[in-house]
Amino acid sequence: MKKNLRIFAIIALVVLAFAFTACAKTTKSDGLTIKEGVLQIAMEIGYPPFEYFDTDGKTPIGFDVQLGKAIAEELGLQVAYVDTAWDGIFAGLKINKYDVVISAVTITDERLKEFNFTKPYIGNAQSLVLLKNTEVTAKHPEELGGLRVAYQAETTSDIYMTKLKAEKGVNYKEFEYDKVMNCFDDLKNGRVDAIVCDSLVAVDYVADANAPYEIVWLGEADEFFGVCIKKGNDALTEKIDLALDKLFAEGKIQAISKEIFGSDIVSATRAN
Amino acid sequence: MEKLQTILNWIPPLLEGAVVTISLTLLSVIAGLIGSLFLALGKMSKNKALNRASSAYVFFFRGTPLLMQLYFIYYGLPQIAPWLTINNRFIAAFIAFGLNSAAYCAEIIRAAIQSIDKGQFEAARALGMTYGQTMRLIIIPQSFRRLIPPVGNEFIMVLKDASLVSIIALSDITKITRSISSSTGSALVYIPAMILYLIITGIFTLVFNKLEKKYSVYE
Repeated sequence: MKKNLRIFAIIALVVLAFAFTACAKTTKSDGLTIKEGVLQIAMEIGYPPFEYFDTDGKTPIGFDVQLGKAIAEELGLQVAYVDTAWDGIFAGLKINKYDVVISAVTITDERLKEFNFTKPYIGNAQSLVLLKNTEVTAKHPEELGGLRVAYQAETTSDIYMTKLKAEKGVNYKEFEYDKVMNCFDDLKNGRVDAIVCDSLVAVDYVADANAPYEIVWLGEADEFFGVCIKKGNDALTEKIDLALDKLFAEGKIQAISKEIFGSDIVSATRAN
Repeated sequence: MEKLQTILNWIPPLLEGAVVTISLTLLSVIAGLIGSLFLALGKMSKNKALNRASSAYVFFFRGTPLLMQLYFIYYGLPQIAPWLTINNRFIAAFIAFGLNSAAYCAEIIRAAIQSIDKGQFEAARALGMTYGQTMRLIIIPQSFRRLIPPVGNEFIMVLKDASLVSIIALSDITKITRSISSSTGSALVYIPAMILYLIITGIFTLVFNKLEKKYSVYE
């Protein structure tokens, strides 16, 4: 019994020693990224065409995925994608679970108080999506009174519709989904009458000529997406901004836009 | 004081969520219990087809995550055939939770019935009772007391599993808590939400303790 105890003590010591060396190693990194040589990017994978899984169910693809890869290459880093639920994606950034969030994050005043952002890389507006041969006659979100409206919870669409209800008294029935894909599923299934979502998402859904959806209203581009970084990490913010400028100058981001959206919808954000 | 006021303001929306959570829990476990009685008898039956079918059912519903079952019933079935579309979210959740609960309760009931002394069964048969009469008049009433603690457990499990319904855009306590938390940026809403869960669990526990005392006369 005593012998066992001694062996156990030795094992415990060895494990501890390893643990300490492991700690020492992580604190030794140059500080640009959490894990040396790797840019860890958080995204809520399930938001086409920005970030979603390929048909194999495990390879992330989309605009942000390609953009993240291009940025990492500019910085001379490996890229790692961290699939994270949307609620909690910012909390994870605060506690150093990953270096940046590139997940169609809108730059807002509230978020600017809590996080660093790069300059925008794409602009977005709210849009209203209906079925092609629908009986719904609404041509503007203000005309959605009495209808069943789907949107993704805690997004700018949610904020937009909640404000419309509070300020204009538009009395729609709200259905808040965890994933925007499920809004489209349910519109097709007839469980909701309309969807309010990001125009960039809508553009992708109606791109296929066989798709049953159509965009009946597009708001003014009023939100811009940027790369979100932990507050105070100015070194990384500056480096990514420089990388973005270079990628724009070389036309690489425009090329990604053409591949994904069929046209260049990114240059406008850099016009001024 | 100001904080207390904000917390109080969150209570009405949380109570709306509680209605969904409680009604879903009660209805699904009750439906599950009714279904499970047949499953349990099927599992103990000497009829091979009946036995296999019940075992397969329990194996499937206990062996796959409830989250997937719910997802499949709501989003998957319409893609198989349009007439399988369940338009009412609450009913879709009730079906998923009821089917799932039946599998768990079936094992509870089987265990309770089989824990009754064999002598009871033999004595009933000796008095000339049929299998049905023995079950209905002798065995099942005695198994009630043994059923109560695990069924109480099942209620509490389902109560918390009910938070899965947010994936089909149904607003239960957890969903509303998350909404409030992320729109106000305040995690304080978890305090009244957890208290609400504790109150509901407390009531369930109280009722089941009373039931257990009442049925203990057999022991």
